[in-house]
Amino acid sequence: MVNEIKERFFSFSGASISVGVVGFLSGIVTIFINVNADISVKWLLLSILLSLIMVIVLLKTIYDLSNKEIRQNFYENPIKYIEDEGVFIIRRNDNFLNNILVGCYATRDEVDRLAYIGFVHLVQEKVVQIKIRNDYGVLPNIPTTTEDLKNIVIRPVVPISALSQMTVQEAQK
Amino acid sequence: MSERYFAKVVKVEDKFTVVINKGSSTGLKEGDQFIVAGIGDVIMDPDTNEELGSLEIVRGKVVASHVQEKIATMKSCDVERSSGKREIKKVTSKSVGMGSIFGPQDTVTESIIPGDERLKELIGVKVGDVLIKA
Repeated sequence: MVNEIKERFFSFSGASISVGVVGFLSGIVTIFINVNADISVKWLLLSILLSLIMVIVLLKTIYDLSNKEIRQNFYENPIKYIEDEGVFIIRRNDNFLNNILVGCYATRDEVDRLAYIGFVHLVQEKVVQIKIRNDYGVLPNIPTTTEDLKNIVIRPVVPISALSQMTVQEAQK
Repeated sequence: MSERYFAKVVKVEDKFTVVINKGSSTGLKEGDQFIVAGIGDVIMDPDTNEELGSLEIVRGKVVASHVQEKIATMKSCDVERSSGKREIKKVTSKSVGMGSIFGPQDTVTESIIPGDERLKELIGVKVGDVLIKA
């Protein structure tokens, strides 16, 4: 939030608001105020100028933020695979909560096939770790390169048939 | 230390027990749970080249078992269960009265006996690992 406000102040819109406020003040001042008066009108004007700029920029920020809709994808592509841990790394996404089951789909011939079932292992500040639990043998090896990883889509959705198959496998172990 | 990391491991007692550098003076109480993690490589976003932070390698889950003023002993609280047994029992009942017309009846009972629970080791835990609020 603080960064967002800083960005607004030092942005094109911040600069254009400043120019507008300066023009407005200079117009008003020459009509109504005697700048040679005993009180330091210069400093008074400077303080009014700064406060007006801040108020307007903040109002615009509040308005923009209230209109902003936070939409996150319902899928993520892994950005890395950590072989030692057996985890895919995806970008942080609020649809991936701690411990939920997720489906890892491999796109082949423009068809998504369930390749792995995993679960959310750990949610970090900017990334989420997905630990693989079941491998359905769709892919000969777990992809590791950036190009191959782009063919994997992770969704917080698991088909019911895969779930029941997994339950049976667990019971048979 | 980052706000996300509550404390650091200062001693590894055994595979299940570690000592951390925070105690009751920081508000830690017995029963508080944490995740122990090692800090791994920095992850970079391949599309934007943005730094996404260091990978946290989970060692296990711990609970505060003894809290002193400046240190605390944490024990593993994750459990793993050995695979259960699947039993199928077939009972053949003797037919009496009208039942004898249809012959003996079989009753098949299937039951799953859950496996034993045991504490999970803190895999690869070492001094310097961090604790994250569970």
